[in-house]
Amino acid sequence: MGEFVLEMRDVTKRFPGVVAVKNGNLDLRPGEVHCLVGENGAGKSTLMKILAGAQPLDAGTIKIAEEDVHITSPHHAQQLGISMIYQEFNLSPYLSVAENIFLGREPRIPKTPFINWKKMYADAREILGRIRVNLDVRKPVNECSVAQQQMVEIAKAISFNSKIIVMDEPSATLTDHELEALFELIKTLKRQGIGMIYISHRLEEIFTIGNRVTVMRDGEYIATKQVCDVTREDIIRMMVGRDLTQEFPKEIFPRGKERLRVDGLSRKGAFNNVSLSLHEGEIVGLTGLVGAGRTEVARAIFGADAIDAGTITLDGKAITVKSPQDAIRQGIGLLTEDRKHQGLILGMSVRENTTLANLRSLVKFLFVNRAKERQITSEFVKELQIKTPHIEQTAQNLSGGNQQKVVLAKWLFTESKILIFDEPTRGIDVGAKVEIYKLMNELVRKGVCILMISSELPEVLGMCDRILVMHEGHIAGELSREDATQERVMQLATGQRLADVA
Amino acid sequence: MSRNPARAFFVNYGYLLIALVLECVVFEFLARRQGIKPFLSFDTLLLVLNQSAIYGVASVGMTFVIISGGIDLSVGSLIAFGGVICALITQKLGAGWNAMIFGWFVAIAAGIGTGSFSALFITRFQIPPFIATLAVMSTIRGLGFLIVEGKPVFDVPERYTFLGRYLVAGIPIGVIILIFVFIIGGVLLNSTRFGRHVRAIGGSEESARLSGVPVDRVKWAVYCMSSALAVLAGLMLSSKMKSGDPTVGVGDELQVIAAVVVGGTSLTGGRGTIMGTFLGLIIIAVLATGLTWIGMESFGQQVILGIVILAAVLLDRIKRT
Repeated sequence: MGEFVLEMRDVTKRFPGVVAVKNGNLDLRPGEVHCLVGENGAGKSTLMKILAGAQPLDAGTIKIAEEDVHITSPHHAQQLGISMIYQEFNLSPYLSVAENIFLGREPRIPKTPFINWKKMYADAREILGRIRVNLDVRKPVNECSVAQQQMVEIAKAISFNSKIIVMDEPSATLTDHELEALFELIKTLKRQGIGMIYISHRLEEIFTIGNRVTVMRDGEYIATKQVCDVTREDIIRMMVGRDLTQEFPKEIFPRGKERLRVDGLSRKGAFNNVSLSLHEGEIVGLTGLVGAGRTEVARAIFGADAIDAGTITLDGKAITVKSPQDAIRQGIGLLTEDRKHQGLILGMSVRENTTLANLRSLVKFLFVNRAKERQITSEFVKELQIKTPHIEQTAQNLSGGNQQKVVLAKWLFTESKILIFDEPTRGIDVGAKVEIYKLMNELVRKGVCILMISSELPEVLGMCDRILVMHEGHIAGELSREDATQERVMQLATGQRLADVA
Repeated sequence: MSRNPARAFFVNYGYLLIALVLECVVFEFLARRQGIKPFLSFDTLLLVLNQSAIYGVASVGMTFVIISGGIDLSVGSLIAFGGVICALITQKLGAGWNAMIFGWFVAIAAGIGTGSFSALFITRFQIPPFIATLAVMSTIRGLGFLIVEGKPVFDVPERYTFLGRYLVAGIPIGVIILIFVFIIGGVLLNSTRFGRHVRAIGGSEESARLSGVPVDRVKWAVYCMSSALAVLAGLMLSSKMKSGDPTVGVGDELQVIAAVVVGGTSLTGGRGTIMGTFLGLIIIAVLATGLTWIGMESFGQQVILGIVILAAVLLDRIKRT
């Protein structure tokens, strides 16, 4: 009786100069969700790339259904019943759901080169039915939501009769509601005996859907535990290798004078009559469900999108912000939610990214003062503890946490007085998160006002002095640090009235 | 990344230098075997530079456009248009220096106007650069024909050949302009805020905008620069031919793009150098000169040029992976 569908034993993978995975172990039972956690660079991705046939292994064994296998290519992995669902989907945007599911193996009308559309749509419907997803199979994929696209990826995996499905950060881009749907689907797959390897930075998810959890750190296998035997703190300790004294190292500072004030800000179709103020010494949280208009408000304050009505006052003076340039000149900075496409120029070096928003200050007689630029960048790298081999490294080669620090360095170099952080810790591992929080404390100490947009409630509750909750484009309510609880925030975010708070 | 400039230079451009040296060696060998004049000499160098002057001037502007993530297809039309305008003005206003210099300025101004027009559609109306400049290419080509009613302007004074045929200390004016434009272009791209902004926009337009880069203004400058330099190239060509001919320069934008791409500039934007474009230009010019030297006719030359472009791009791809 084969107990495991997959067994990876003592898998080792070396790259020139580094051991990416050392004695990695991972096994999987049918109908099980096995969570794989670790900080960025812990070796999770490499281990999964080996499983997917994208990287050859240097040592160790892989057994599938009790048989030794040597996975030679992604195609081979697929034949062995292994499917990968990456954060970035492998879908062709203008093709329909059904066409995507059967891409490359479309059913044909016998003895002709023509596609049997009827059969393809019927088969696609059947597969979607098996995972209880209700979706029009003729709909082009680019018209589907991100969550629906993920369902299509999963349906594709099912259509290959995969017994092993690897999900890499599937929850990163989903709303809470969509996440519930994903968990439902995972439960359905479990009942059908499919084993799943689930990679996520959100530890609470492990406790919702995981059976077992394996922790990796610095390329090494640390331990595999039953989820019911461990606590969140245990997992974090295994991940970072030491006790994380505080997940949210909040420091309270005395509330100072008002710096930024926004009155009656409106943008048609995005948000309506939004008013808020930021004081020295505080971090203000702006939360709500995805799509409530939080990012839009931030972009409007920053001048990235035009506003239809409302005023912005900085230090008692009304200001007009028509473009990001205006905002930067006034001392307002925005750390965008999407670091890779809106925050950084990935092909540029750490140095060039750091100075981009305030290059003006380095120009002398038309020329950029390179020596000074290098010196300033080196100082930021040291101060923020950015892990990079040198300042000429291109930004795309840094980990998520370090990329975020480079973005932060960019705004520190503009000497912004007001900083808006949009999802500052998304996709960043636990250790780096704490570092970002500490840097935020440091900024507040220096007199910078922070507006933090976040979907992660623990983070909002843990780090903010005041919390504004948005619902469908307007501010539904404000909670002080003392009054705020998960329940109250969610009540406001879903448009309910607060019974017990004035 | 090495701090040693010589080493950094070789790391970045080594494969282009090797290709160039290889070309020279092969042509020298073939020339000797055929018993004709040796290929390698100072005269050949001047010949190569002189022949690449016209494409070269335009390729500096094109490099900026391509690094910014765009493309400019109107270059060939502007080469003809610039020459036609200048020749027409010189003819109409008499034979003095002033008339010709006035013609230069009007032509360059027309180029800047054309660039502004392209940029307006690309920035304000978000038309893809390929389409916008394709339309401008056709419009400008037609205008060139219209203002001279389809007939080339031949009636220009001897001094009209100043840009194309005059020498200073034995070096053609065109070569001096070429080197001057490349130096200015290189400094602009590498050492100024403008150059940094161009690369930032090509790397990620949205990130650049949200970092306070004046995206529309930078793009406007880039297209104006490309158009103005294309007109300058047109003035040089028109001067060399001592006429303003609306039929010249058809397809020249592709030759210019070839030099930029062989030089390692990425068509997706964000990455590229002026030095690379210079080497790309010279590699192609040495090829054309060398093949003519050993007596190959132009059809065969085109075949070989195509293969060299592919090989260069392939090498660049291999180098980066």
